[in-house]
Amino acid sequence: MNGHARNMLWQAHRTQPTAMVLLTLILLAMNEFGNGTAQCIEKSCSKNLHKGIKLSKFVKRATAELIKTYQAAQGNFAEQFCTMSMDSMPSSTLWGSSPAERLQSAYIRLTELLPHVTMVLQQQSDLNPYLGSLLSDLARLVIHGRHLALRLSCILQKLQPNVALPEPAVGPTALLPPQNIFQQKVYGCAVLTRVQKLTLLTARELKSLRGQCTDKT
Amino acid sequence: MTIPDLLYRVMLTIYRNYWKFPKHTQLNSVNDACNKVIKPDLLNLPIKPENLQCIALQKGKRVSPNLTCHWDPGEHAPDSNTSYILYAQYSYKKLANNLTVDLGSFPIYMETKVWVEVKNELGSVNSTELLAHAECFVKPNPPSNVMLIPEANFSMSLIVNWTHSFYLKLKYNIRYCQAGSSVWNEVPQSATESYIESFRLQFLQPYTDYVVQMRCINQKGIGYWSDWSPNATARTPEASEMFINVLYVLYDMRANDLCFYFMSQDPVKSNGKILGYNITVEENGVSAERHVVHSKEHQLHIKGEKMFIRMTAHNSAGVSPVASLVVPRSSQEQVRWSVRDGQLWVDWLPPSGSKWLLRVFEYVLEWVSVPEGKRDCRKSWPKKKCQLIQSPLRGPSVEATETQKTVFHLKWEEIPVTSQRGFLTNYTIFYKTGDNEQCKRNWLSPTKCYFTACAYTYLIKTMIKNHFWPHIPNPSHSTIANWSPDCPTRLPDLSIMEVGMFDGKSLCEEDKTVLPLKKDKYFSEEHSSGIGGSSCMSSPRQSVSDNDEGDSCQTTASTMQYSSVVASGYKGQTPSLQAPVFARSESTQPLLESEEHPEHLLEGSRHWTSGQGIEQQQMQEGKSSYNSLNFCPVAKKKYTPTLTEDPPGLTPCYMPQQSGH
Repeated sequence: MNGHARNMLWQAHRTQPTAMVLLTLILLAMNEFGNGTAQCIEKSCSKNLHKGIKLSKFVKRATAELIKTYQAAQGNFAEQFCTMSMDSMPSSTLWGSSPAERLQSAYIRLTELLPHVTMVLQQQSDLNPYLGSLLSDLARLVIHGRHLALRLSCILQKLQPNVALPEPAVGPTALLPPQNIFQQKVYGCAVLTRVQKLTLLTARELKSLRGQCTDKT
Repeated sequence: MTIPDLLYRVMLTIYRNYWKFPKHTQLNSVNDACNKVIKPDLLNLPIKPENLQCIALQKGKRVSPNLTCHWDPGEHAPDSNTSYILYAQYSYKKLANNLTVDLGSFPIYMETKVWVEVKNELGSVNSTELLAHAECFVKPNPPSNVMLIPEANFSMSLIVNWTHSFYLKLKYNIRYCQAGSSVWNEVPQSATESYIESFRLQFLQPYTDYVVQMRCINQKGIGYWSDWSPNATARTPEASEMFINVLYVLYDMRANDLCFYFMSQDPVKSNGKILGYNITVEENGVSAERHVVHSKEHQLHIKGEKMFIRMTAHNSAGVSPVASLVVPRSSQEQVRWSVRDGQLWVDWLPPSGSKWLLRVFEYVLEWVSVPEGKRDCRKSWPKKKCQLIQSPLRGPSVEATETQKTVFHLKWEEIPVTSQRGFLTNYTIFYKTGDNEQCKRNWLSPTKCYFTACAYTYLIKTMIKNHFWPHIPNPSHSTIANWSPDCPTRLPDLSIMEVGMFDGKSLCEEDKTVLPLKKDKYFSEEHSSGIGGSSCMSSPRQSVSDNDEGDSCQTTASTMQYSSVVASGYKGQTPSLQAPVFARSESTQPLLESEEHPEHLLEGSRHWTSGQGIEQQQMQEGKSSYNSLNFCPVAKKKYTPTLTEDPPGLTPCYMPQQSGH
């Protein structure tokens, strides 16, 4: 990883196999997704839509709990961390005139934010490798986020079969400036907050698309 | 390529793929394949797994990433070279593992495809793919922190509380039972389908321990039910409505007073822990006393004729309703008993009177085994009869005492109570002479009786006889007396009083003079039977032997007198200075008064004359009339006091005269 501070005190005692395994899985999932080899097993538009709604709500709830866990792990003044804004990450706003376009924007935002979640995982692992549940929760958030992204792509393929999905940007976190610990703490909470908001918007858009699917299966 | 060549190639391909061949085998023809092939081990080909099922358990608040699957491997066990590979794919990527697939993060809301590949050196085969949403494999943990909470003033209700512990929405299933019972009551699942954390159980028993368990499943009903939670136990509060069920009333026959004894029910059914009882007793319409009892048993002695007992119980929740008991003392009018078919029947009437006009629930009939002291009772509703007792087991042992010529006493002991099997009403005595049963008599529960074999009947016959012909003494009743001039003993005048069931009062005074023999000594009304009567048919003989006790019979003119022989000289003896008195035998045979005491005879005749009748005339005419009377031979055998033997004199001892009557 580049440019971010590390907790040199913990580096000598770093033995976090679980976090590293999770991180490896995340990287593999990202590569698979990036290669475009993912397949939509569920063929039904309505069922995809239904599961998409469920998954987006699930991720939203998981993110809300993760924020609490994250704040508890940051020590003093943790509540203030989440009130600060940062511009070095994608926003959670959606664009487009139609639900399908907005859903597509949600898919793009999600794919842009998930690498930042991975960054937060790595930073937190460097700051405190023994955080335990925070690191695993962050890893799971990445995985479920990827699942949601896959689900959105399947839905878009059904809704707009002739529209190619935009490719996610490669290495969005490569442009992050170096951050001190305080900035990392603020950065981590900001990323999680945006993911939570994005999943909320995604669930709304998916609900608005319930009548859009023509198949009855 | 000709068809045979094509066929060869196809067959060769098949053979190579499925059959074993030694290495470096050169197959030039089909025959070579047939000749050189090692017989295939078709039996050891891998068998397609069937019935693939997978499950993922809850871990913490999430689902474990481990997906465990099981399947049916087939009919025969695989050999050691067979391996199983479980694949789970929720994208297209294969994640190889063994029987448990670690999915990293459980792919909730993602379609998951699972299959098993079985592979060995001969080949491989896949099971049917199991395709489902990942949550279909989820088995949640039982609900946590399940608690059963009682509420004050709600004696029939308990609240079940639990905690959500899963990120999936669940629905629950509650079951409960009374502690110690194996029968569970299940709350309908429709009542606990929503995402709730508490539920109220209702219509429970007050003051009762209950056990509750819970389980849960995905709110959509998909996946697996969790295991039942551990038992949660609580007791419902007490209720003021208690039940006092058992009231025992013991009638102490020995003390002749009522002993009221009660015992309370089990607390479980009493809806609470009873702290005490209040008992109010009304005797004969007057509130007599009030008792506060803190024990489960109590005893009161009451002597009133009619008692109205009220009883309440109280616990921490309040006072129970009043329980009432009406106790009328048994009287002859209300309770009656009778014997029917060898059984004792008890009849009674319901309590009468306005105060007692209560709805009677049941009657309690109680009896006691006297020797054992055991009490027993039976409840009877709505019957008013009860049969309890059977016929006695055996009769008493009888002993004859004070045996006399025509009179004997019988004595017997009352049989044991255990043999009575009821209350004895009477005794029946059977006796006979020879083989003929002559008489039986009923006696009410005495232990002895004087047996004269129908004295009253005899009296009647005697009256008739004496009116018409005189009584001829029975020679068999004679005994040898002293016949010596040295014994100037004069036979005392003897008169035997007749003994019988009547004392002669029923006869007119004139008739009394007819009585040749009267012996009031044996006449005893205490031996009379209060129930039953004599059924004697024969006439007894009179007894003349009672003078040995020193009783002097009246020697009035109404009695027959015995003669006294005036002594005269006797050969060979020196006559004493006093004229000896020679006594004839002590015979019941009276001498003719004309021989000795003409005046007596005259009086007797007059006596006879007063008796009227032809018989008297015959008496006056002379002794020839006597000679015409026949004597009945008396049985000379010794009389033994047994019931089976006829006492002497029972048979008629005279025969009617052939002439003159």
